[in-house]
Amino acid sequence: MAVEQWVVQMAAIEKQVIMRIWPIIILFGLLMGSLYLMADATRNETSFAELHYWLLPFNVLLLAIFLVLIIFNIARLVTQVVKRQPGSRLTLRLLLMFVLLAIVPVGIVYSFSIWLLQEGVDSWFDVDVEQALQDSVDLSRSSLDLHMRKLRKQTEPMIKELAETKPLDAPLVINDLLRRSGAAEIVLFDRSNRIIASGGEVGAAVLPRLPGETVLRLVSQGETYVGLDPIKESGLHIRLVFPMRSNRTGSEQRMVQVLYPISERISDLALNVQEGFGKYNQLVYLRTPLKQNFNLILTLVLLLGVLFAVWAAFYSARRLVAPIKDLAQGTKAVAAGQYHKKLPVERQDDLGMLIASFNQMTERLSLARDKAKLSQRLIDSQRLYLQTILENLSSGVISLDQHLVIKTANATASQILNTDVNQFIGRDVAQLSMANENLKSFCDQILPMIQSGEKQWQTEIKLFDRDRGKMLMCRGVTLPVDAEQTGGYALVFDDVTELIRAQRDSAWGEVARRLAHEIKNPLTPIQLSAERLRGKILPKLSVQESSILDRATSTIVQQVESMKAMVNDFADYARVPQIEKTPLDLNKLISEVIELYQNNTFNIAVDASLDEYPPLIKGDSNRLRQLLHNLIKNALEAMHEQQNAMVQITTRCFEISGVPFVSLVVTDEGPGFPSAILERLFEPYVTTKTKGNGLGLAIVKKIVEEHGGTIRAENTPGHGARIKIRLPICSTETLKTSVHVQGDAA
Amino acid sequence: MKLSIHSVSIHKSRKVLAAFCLSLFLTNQVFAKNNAFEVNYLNIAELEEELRLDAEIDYQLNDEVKEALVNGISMLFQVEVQIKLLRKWTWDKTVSGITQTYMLKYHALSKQYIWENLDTGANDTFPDLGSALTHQGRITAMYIAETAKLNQDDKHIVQLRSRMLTDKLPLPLRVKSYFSPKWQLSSGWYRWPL
Repeated sequence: MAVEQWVVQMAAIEKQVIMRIWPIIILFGLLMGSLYLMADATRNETSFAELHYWLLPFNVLLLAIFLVLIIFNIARLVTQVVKRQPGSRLTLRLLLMFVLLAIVPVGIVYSFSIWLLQEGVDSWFDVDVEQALQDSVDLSRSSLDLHMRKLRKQTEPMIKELAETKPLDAPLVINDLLRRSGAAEIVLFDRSNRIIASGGEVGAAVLPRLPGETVLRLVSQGETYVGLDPIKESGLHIRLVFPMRSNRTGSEQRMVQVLYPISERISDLALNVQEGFGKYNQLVYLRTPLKQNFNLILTLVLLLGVLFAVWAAFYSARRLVAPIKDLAQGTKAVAAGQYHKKLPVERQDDLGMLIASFNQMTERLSLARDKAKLSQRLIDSQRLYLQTILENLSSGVISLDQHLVIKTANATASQILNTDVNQFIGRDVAQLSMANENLKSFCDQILPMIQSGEKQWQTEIKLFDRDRGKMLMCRGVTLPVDAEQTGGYALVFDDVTELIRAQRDSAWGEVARRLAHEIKNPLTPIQLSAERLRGKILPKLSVQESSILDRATSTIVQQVESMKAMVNDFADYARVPQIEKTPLDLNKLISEVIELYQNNTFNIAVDASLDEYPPLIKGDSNRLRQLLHNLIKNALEAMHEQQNAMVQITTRCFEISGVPFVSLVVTDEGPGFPSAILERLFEPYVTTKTKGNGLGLAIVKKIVEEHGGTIRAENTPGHGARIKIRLPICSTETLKTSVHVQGDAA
Repeated sequence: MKLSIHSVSIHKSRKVLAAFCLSLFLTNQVFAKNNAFEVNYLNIAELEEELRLDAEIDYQLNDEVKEALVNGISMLFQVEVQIKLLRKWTWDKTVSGITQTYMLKYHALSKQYIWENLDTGANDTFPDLGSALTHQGRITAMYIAETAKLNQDDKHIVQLRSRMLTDKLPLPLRVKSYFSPKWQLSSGWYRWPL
């Protein structure tokens, strides 16, 4: 973790520093300067030769800097490649290419240079020249040897002369010998290098230059030393050291050194030979170290060059990849939805243009996104608006896509179909049919219409819901298919059961009123005419004829009476009620009516199970009493052939959406309603009884509706029928208060 | 390790100088390194208010250096003598420093080795290398300091080193000498209390 942080920090610092050009210029300048100085220092006589000692560590320092930079860059690149950062693989590929391009030619030049050095330097040294120089040295030596032998022979008599000389006379003799021989210096000294006498002078030294231990050892053994002596200030001399053989006994061994100058001409020639030979010899000797030195410099140059090339490759690759990397990151950001992403345009080249284009693209994308968001917001708002409308529609609405998959459904659809249609959203509409038989019927009726291909259609759908028929008016529309809409279908359906029923009731009311009006009016004249006819003609007829007339007129009168009764019933049914609603206790009213049936002719018990708090409703007591009579009478008539049967009347108070209701349920144990007429039970003339006009339940329904209630008929699970009436009550509180007051009063 | 004192002569001896002569042996025998050059003898004497050094240094050249010498490469040698003031809490201070630089080269025509003291200009020729090195290693009455500069109450040491100067070699050999111990010839520092 710490290493990663360090790498990140270093990367940030490096991005600030390394992305500028000046580090390259400085490093390159240092490199070139160092190499120039090293190359110049190979010429020994240059002023930079003194710097050579420092150039090597300086170049090593440069090497170390490059190595550190390269190692850091490699570590960074490896980290990036492992993390699969954008641009890292391209950087690696460019780096390898650059390094390969740099190393191959540099390697070739290096190999060729090394080979050229090995072969070329050796070729500079010519064997013939070397031999000629050696020969010239030998020749010089031979010439000088000849001269030295000649001088030795010339000097030996003088040494004998000096040997016979007394020490006190030695300086005089030496001066005489100097004058005669042409020697530059004659020194007489003993074995301990103590000068006895000397003459002449060579060089700037105060004291004569006496021979070293080796020469003394040689001379003390009786040998004569003859040799060349290059004296710094005086040039080349011939040194002869003789042992002094004295005839005098007891005297210490003495030696004589004679220095002869060599003629200027010969000395100059010898000096030239010496210098030429010395330099050539030196060159020959330095050949191998020189080659090693050149190899070292070349290797150093190669290493510096290669390392610089590698580092420059890193730098160039990163410079090339940096905008591409930025673009990749920018593209990634755009892909992640950051449309506001902008990249800095730092270049004026093609990549700079690319980045500028990218920025334009993101700007446009951002604008488009904002527009899309605005549109989406509008759409959402409109959708919410439509959804609110749909949810509050009294019609059921279901939308399907082109593959008949349910997309939306409002709450009314679920209510009408008596199934939570939202559970089927996203599923095929055909799957609705699996929910229950009712929906299967619904699907079976709408699917052919949808598949018919008509753009608009309308149909009535008949459903069976809990033993009751339900009539739906369903309309279908094929949705348009264009760039924004994918098509599909919209189904709108209404539950028109109550509407149809109300229409039917209204029609029946109209029929009843007309019947009452059109039929009742001629009945009275018919009856009066029949009675008048009977009264006027009966006395005049024979018994047989009068009997016929009597039966005929009696039949007319009875039938007219019967028809009057029927017409009165119709008139009652059709009559616009003049009811007076007053608050009344339904339980009390029920109790009063039940009391009348306690000893009924059918011997059937009428039992009441009334709510503890009797409901106070606003109603017309006469009409409600008629309602109870009709219901109880119907129940008793249904059970007249049964033993131990019972009519059960219950009341229960409850609330629906905060509105209080009272439920009045009348249950008998008769055969129940035939299912064929259950749907139309409350219509006039619908009855199973042989007697009666079939208006009982129709009137009951009419009374319930006059009191703002609802009525339902159903069969009980075993056998028997049940009529459920729901009536609004005034107020629960009022009701309770009134009940309690009434209770207390009773 | 060969170290011997041939003679110890103290002129106008002081107690300090007399005492150091014994310690000279012991110190060198314990701390001297096995170097190419060795200091065989050293004597410091006071002469006319000056400290004078006598020493004998054994120069042992290896074959590689000898070969270079014979092939005309001049060799430079340097003898450094320093007097240091010993201090307890800080670095020692150099009170006096004397250097002598010698050059040795081979004269092919005469087959002589030419030796020269580059500081004094003294020079000589030798028919063989041994006698030239012997001559070079013999230091006689070399001035190192004035006695007045040295405080008697302070502790001083004398240190001597002789080495071959590689930075004056021809460049090809110079680079080689950086890496080759055969060319790093030195006696190391020899120290004595003064």
